[in-house]
Amino acid sequence: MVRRNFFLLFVVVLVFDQSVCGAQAVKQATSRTEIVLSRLMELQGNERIKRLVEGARKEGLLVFYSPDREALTNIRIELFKELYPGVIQRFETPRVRPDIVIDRLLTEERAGRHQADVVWLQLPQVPVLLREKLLARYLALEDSHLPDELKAPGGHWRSLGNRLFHIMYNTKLVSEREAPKSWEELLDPRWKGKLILDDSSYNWFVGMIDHLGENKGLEYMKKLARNGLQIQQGRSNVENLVASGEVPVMVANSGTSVSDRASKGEPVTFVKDPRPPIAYGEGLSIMGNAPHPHAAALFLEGVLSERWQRRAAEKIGIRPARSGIPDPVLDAKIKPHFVNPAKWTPERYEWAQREYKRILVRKDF
Amino acid sequence: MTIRGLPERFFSGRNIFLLIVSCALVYLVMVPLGVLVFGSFKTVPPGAPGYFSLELTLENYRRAFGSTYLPRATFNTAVFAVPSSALAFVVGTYLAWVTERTNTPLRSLVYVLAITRVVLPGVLVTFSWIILLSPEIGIINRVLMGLLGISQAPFNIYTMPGLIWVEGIELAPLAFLLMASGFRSMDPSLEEAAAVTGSGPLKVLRRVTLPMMRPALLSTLVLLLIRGVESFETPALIGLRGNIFVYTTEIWLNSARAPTDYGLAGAYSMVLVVITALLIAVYLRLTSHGEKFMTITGKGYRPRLLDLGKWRYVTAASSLLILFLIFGFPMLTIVWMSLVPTHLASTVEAFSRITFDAYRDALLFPLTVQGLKNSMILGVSSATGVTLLTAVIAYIVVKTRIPGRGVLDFLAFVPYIIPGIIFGLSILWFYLNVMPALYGTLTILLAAYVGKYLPVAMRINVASLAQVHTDLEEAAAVCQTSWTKRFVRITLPLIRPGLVAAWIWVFVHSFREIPTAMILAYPGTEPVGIVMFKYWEDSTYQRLAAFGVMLFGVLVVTSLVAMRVGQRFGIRDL
Repeated sequence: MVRRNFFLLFVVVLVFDQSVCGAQAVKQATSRTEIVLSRLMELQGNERIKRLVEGARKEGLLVFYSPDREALTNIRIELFKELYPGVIQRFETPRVRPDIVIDRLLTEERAGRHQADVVWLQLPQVPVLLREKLLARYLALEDSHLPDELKAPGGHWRSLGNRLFHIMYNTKLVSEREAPKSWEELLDPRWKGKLILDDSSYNWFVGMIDHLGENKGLEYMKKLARNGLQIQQGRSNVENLVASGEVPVMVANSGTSVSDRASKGEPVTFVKDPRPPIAYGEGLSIMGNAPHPHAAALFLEGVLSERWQRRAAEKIGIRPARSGIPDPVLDAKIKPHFVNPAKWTPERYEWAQREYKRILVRKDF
Repeated sequence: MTIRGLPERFFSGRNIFLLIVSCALVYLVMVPLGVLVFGSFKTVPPGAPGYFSLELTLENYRRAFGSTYLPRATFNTAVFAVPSSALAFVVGTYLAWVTERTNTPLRSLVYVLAITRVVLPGVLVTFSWIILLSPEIGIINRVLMGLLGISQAPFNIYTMPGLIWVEGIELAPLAFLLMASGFRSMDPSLEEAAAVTGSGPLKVLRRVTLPMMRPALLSTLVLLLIRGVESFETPALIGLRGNIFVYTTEIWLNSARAPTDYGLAGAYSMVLVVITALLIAVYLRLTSHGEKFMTITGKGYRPRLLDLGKWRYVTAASSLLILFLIFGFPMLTIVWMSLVPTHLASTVEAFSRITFDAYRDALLFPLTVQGLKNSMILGVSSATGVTLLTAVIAYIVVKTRIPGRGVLDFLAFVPYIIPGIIFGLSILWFYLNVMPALYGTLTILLAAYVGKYLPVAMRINVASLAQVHTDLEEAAAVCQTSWTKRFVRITLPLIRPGLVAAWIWVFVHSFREIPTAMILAYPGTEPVGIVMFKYWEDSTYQRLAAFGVMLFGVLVVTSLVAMRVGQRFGIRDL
């Protein structure tokens, strides 16, 4: 009876997969969005903006996939509305976790269901979507104000909120004088067993490797692991453990949450520019099949504008992408190292993730 | 297909109805199972070019099982899963016996608290144990160190015993639920006969009650063991800090990337599928002579409680103590975390910072009311749908000789071991292709929830039906009663305890569902799990704790209502 049941199960699986799952062919995305954007790119200056405003007003909606908390996304949208009041009547901003956004976009696009107009992406996510040809090419009017290391070649992505990596620490356990001021200081034996990092700080890992070179970078990571680095799942868990005094120092923190916590009275602060300063970009891409291309392009032009960048630096406290705007975080003389998007393919990022897990999580070296 | 020689037509109404229900089960389960099994032999994801071709490969299996870390992880999994399952089983069975088979006072309270404990978010419960037993900041450690004058913390949560403890008590409510529904349906005449011969309550429990409960007992052990093997949250939150890697953390370390490596995750998960199939086969073989376990018969069935005399106060005290350990400690910690800033939770300074602001903020959060409304709709519909569907499927498995019923039993169990992200993504992919209008609606979430929560409800109903003798149904059949009437008027009321338990379990669990909801929810359809996740990701643990406490209150009330409604159609009061 057991053999018969297994045989029946095998038949059911095989028949189901071939008949039901195969019933619907994968839909091919249209290129309407690309056509609209390429026509828009032929226009310059105010003429393009005028066309964008007219088109966005007709479309009336922007769907913006973002991983950040609602308050932050709403601020970004409010700042845009200050520039173009009443043009886009409605915004849908589903919050999609960074580890799910790629899967969700791929699944939707392969099913021919085009939902997102613009999506907030971290740099490592861009090559994957480029490889799948999901991002639209759009050369914005304001692109010339951004340095090359903050733009993906071809106009598929540009950074809008540069994240500098900090070292977070508990002020009851570590004084400002004692706090490590460089990545190298973390290797000092006095920090043995007192360091913690979350399980997916790949951006920092890639930044360090990119800056130090592969051999030196990996050697640094091994020394850090030997110095008793602990790994905990989830960045917010790690921050809570540092704030509660369980572990004094968090190795690499890039969010604005430390400042938020400190403002609520938690005993935490951060070394904001440990030497050498390492940063990574996160920003906006237009989807290749965006249902509302005018709204998407107008939104992008808006957030790249000088006024939006200045207001975002004031209100959110993130480093602006455009040059010439006061940096709320760093002294203007300090030039952080950015990972060059052109040098990091999806395969190289996957290698980096594997090495991160091997060295820092498993301590297998 | 007959019941003891009473012939029925092949295309009878009953058979057609059972066929339709079986097809519904296949429909709900086959998409995620198909993606898992078929995908494990492919190196491209669903929907990508070449996915539907029959070019299969073993590359994923080579990568999965060529890992040098796997043997150690497998060993750790066994060391972790077996003791935690055993702990959960002992604790859950004891509480179930006390509440269902004895006249222990306050047993209703024990029942409700044991079940609704599961609504508390897993990450919060695990974090509460860190607050209690961390070697650096743990409250229990600090108190003991102060009282005993020792410099080293006596407990360390970041060890294998710590993992086993947290997982064991996390699983105890499941064990309780499964065994409670089985105990409730027992005919006590056999126990009374044993008592007449001078056997004490514990001997009766060991020599009479538990052997009679073999189907429920095996169902419970199978579920607990599988749950222990596929547990991820506890090993991830606690095990990583202690450098303890189990099978699921290996799966995550090797296959979690963007985009998800379906093939590799599928290859790893196939091990769990095979283990599940084997355990189900063992279960079916050990319960094949079902008449031995049928305690609900036509001979004057009247479930009665064992009178423990003065010992009932001992059982009451011990039950409450156990509940305090598995429920009280984490619940009090979570209430405490809701009242004070998280970073002060283990300090004396917290007493001067007590505030109810987190409750106010949670109530004013825009998604709170909408999330509760969505979850109520999803919870009631999925719980009702799953309970009824599994009642029918369990009937097919236990009471008929339809060929392939073992396959149905297996299929109903499979969602238990499919990783949450694969489950959600496969449902998303399927409906985007076949019924795109459902995308972004509550219906797609409902379809996912019904499939996902089949396993526990199925095991409860199978165990319950195994205790019901066929003579009651046969008597009705002799009187020319239709099958539908027999099923609705006789069978279902007799397994009411199991139905109510299954309903409550699915309802409560639907509120804490996060992985599937993250994939399928859209603005406007976000259930409560998403709300909780947002609090967690935003590091507002205080608000998460406040929300968890309020939700717990809502679910306790709903569970009590469900139990009262169930009693109206049952045969015994609590």
